[in-house]
Amino acid sequence: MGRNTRKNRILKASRLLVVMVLVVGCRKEIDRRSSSREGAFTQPPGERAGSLDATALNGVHAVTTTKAPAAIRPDPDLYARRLLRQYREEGPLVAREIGRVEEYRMLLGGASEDFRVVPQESYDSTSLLAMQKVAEEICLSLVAPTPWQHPGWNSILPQGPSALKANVTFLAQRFLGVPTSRIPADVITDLVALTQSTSTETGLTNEAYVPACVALSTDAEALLL
Amino acid sequence: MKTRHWPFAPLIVLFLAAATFLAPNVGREASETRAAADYSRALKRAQYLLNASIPTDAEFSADAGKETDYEAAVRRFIDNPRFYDAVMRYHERLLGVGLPAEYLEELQRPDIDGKELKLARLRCTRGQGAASRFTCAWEGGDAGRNRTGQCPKAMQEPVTPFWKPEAIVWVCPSVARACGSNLSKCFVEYSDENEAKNTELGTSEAFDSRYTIVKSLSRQAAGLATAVVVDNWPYTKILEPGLTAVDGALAHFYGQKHHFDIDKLNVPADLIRQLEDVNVDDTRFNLVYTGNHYEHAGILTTFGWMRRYEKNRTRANQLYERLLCRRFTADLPRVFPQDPGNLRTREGCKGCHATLDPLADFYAVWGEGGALYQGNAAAKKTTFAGKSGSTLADLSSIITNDEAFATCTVQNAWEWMMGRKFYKEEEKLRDGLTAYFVKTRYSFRELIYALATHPAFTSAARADAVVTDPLDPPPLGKVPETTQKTCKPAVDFDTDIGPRATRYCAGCHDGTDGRQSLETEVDWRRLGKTALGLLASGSMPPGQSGPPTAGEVFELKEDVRCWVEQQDL
Repeated sequence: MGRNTRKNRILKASRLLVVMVLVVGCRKEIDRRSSSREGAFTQPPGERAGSLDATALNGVHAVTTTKAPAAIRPDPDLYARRLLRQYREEGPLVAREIGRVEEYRMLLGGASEDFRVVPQESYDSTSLLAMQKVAEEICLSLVAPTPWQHPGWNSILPQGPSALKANVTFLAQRFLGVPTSRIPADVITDLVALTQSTSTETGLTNEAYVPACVALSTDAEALLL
Repeated sequence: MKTRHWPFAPLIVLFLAAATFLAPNVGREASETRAAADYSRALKRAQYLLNASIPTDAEFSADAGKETDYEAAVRRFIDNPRFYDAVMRYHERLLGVGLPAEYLEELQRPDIDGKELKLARLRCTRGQGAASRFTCAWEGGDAGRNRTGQCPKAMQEPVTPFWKPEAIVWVCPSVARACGSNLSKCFVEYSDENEAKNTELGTSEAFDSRYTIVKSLSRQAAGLATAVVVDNWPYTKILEPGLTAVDGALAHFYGQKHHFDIDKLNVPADLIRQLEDVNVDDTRFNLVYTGNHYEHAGILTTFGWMRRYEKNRTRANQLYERLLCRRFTADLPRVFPQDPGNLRTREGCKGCHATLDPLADFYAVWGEGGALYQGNAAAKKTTFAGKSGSTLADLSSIITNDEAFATCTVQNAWEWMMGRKFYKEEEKLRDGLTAYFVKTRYSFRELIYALATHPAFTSAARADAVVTDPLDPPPLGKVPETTQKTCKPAVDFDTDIGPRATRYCAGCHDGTDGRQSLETEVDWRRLGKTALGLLASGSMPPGQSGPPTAGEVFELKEDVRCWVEQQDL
């Protein structure tokens, strides 16, 4: 019995070894293929499109308009993924995190599977409330990830929780999408106060920054480009 | 149930009200400089739209200081790999193509072994615990398989799954024998559907054939257009006969002929051959040309387009709206007759159907609903925009040679970047952008660069998205101006057309092998108009990249055009 178990173990180990060798071999093969893939397909006939024509472009830029561009709402279907992808690598954790907020996608104003319902281009009260809920979930995974829900993820805050002003300023810049120099000082002061008010008896934790993150996510400057 | 405890949620609601003061403060500076360019604001918008990220302080400093820095940044965004994703999403929205997972079922063969087995279906899952195994076993539906699919843990074998060669999956010997050493011969379902749906292919062990294949089939039209843009082919290629785009999932799908009835899609054999080496985790669409297939027209014959828009009239209506920016609108009759007869001629109906129905006839070789390819015998001779043809290749030529296609592309790209339509007073701007687009041989990349660096885009101000006085849709039937030259007063066949016609046409078109002769002036008088259409679309002579805009073929096309007009042929 004991001999059989040992034999089985050896057999399994050798199988695993063979698989590992194959994996490495496959990976190398795939890399090689990826780099030469384009040449493997027959390309369409004829020339590529043209490149920059500076003279002609100046002519186009000379035709002006008095009308301004409209504010654009970031694509509601991709809101969570795009926010996460700025800080996290694609993988199972990102997939799970998006899965957690998937049920809010239609409330956010997302498209139906077949695009019969097209993505909303503006906000209504439903999509704003859904945005708040989604922002809460995503902010938690960015600012205060937990080992059991987000194993391997660190907080995006640049400094420890006690560096209030630096962390809040960082969040404001990243979520509002404006240079730090353009963020009014009183905004930072208020965000600092909000974060302080959520600190626990043991002091500031990463979790205390979540309300500030959510507030910034739902600010007009973040909601519209 | 969520396990985390977070007691501050109510504060958010309170703070939301207070947060509204943030926007006016941040935006104040912008409104003060309404007339001037604001490169910080433009950078934020361009970077988000083209690369889906928000600029950092360092990026603002480097890229928003002055106009040339900003322009260099926009060029970088267009060259960045993330531009692919942005253009893909743009085309998904533009084409409006998406399919639920059930659509895959209609492509499944009724049986794969001539008996009762529907699909060699596996269900993969990872058990609980850190040391748990990732396993795949036979899914229900076939009792025989179920029995042989069960085996003691000690008998399980490790294999590397085709969707993630770095992973190891444990399977019973019967599975490894039937599905191959990487399981690629079987249909795979994953236990956590939510994770499988949201996983970027190849980034985790989660894989589900249902979602992966349908997602790629749905996105094929958008993928084709995206690959055309990213590789900087003329945008007219999105309608090129014989051109398609394939990613790893579709390559895998086309290779499973034992599971799926690929013939329904009329996929050229040459395509299958070219895809043999493609890895399933290649998530990007690559262009594949399979020769001139007259029944295909790029995005218009992808499975996603055909199944999302099931009727030929719907397909025609959608391309009219999405590629030509025109809508069928008419005053409907007060009372609908029970039997309206011929809609193309009936008053109250013909306003739309006189154009819509002949346009739909270009799709005659493609069946409606799930019927798909019906064979060339079903082709009908028909017309659109005053030009005749019978195949989708002819329709492609008519559309791409109409300035409305270029203008509509400009309009769509403008709305993406500017967040609104053109105002009536912006007609010159639309014309200028269209001319530039045509001049760069339909380079969508250059069009985006032109838009993102235009003073209208970099303006500090923001307006309402609702345009009360929109510009009219582009007119049909106009040839792009930069592709026309001024005609000589009297074009002479022998001196102006004959030599080039001999060089580019008569070599093949000598009246043999079923080809029409184009050797003499008499031949050209008879077929000149048809030949002109083929020359103008870039379909002939073989090897053109699209409508000719310069060079010998362009000269031949223009001389033929002038001659045909002058001779009133």
